Amino acid sequence: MATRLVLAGVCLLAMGSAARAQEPYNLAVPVKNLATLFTGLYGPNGLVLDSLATLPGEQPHSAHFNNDFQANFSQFSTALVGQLVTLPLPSPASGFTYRFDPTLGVFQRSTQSFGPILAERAETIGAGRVSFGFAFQRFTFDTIEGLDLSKVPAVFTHDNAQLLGGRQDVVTTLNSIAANVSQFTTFVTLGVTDRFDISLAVPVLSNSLTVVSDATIQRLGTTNPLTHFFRLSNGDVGDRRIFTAIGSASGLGDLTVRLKTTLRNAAWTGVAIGVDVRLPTGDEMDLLGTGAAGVQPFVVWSANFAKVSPHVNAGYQWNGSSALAGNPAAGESASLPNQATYAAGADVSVNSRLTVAFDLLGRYVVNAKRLVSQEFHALDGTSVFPNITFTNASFNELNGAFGLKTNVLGRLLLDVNLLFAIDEHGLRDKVTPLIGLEYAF
Amino acid sequence: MEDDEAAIHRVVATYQRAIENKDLALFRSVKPNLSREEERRIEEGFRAVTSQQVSITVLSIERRGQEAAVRLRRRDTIEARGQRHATESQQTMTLARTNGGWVIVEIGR
Repeated sequence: MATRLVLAGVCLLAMGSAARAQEPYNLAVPVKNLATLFTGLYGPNGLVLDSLATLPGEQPHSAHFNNDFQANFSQFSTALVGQLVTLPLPSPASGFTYRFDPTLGVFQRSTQSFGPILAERAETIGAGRVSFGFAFQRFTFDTIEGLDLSKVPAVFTHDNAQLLGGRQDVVTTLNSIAANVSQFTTFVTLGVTDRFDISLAVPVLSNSLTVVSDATIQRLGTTNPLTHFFRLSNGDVGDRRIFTAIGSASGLGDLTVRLKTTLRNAAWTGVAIGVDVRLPTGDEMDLLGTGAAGVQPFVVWSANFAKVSPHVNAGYQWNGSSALAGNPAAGESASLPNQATYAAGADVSVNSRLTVAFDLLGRYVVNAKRLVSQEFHALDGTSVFPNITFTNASFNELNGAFGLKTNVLGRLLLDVNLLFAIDEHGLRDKVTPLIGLEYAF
Repeated sequence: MEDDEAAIHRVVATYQRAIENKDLALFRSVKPNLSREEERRIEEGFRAVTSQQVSITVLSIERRGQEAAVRLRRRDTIEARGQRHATESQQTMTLARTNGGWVIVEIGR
């Protein structure tokens, strides 16, 4: 059951002292849900400045300012959940399976290694066997397209700015976004036959999202401060306001069912194919799930060379429609970007109780909305401000992973892993730690 | 002929005992042509399991001069890390008569 922290429209009370009277109004806006946090950041009508100016005919002046940030930054949500749904199922603990060696009549551990952590290997766990596990990952997102999430600039322009005059005024904002996700995933794998496994991953997420937008009026076309202003906390006219939105949610994420079968399983190498079916069980409006079903067929090659077991995974994920890819505030859905996923790495058996695993993990996201940094050149011809805009493009995202699997007791494995960003594409957490446990029956 | 069959049965029983007792020397006594790689795999196999019980039924013995092809059915039950696992299979062993008696030269699938 999702819970949500909502800061209802609390305005900071004006303080008595003159010094405090100069502070910008810090407006905490109501948060309906995390997916619409950006669109609701400046209120239901967007960024509208105070104005005492009147238009000809005594019409009130509507000082409405626009930017892609508010309209399109909800795509941040798509990027965020996109990170979560690509979390692979940890390879089940088949390091404790045994293969009969018919040329001698003795049994060998089918692999010396306990297997990869964030990738898959061709081996199945064997008929009637069950592997059960738990993994915790903590994401603290740092950058989007290389831009520090604590310093995202956005310039808001007046409606009909091309008419010049006072409409040349702009509002510059510096936005700080703190997005944290704790993901607890329980997974179970059942060996239906010696060559066919069924797995289920059940993630539970706890998300928090805070956006602080520091907005400043840049008077490029007006001289009268009453034309465009922010009302200060003491009622005075000012040119700065801080908008804050804080929300959190927790609950069930998207379930994933994995079917995997080995096509070829020789003594030293194997090939498997499979399919992941993602069910939209997480509430996308609170960024707990994608809101779209997904299907990802994949192929796995792996081999065993003494203590080193290399593996290569490749897959393609088709996604359905989700409000997160459309307009969550309006409830309009659009296609969640498809993506190709791949991994290459190896796990190395250090000794009978310890395996070291390392991987390159990538995904190629097809035709996704991307943030682009650019300079904003104001209509006054001289002023330049840092800004962002959005474009549709495909991109590749590459991560590295290094981890350990250690046999702590009986058939219990402890997994520890660090996932680290190698490039700056998309929404990124520089380092994502994982800790998990696996047990094979 | 009967002595040969009895001797072949004894070799198969020794092989069975060598596995159950994790006795590489006894294994080598009935299969002296083990390579170093095979010896390594046998030792690893012995270490990999807590115990291995072998039940062997000789299905047929076919003599070809100084060699014999022994068809057998076996049921292996291993216990490892608290887990019991059983498998059944059929194999053909090739034995050869040497000065010291019958020995295994090849264990086929």
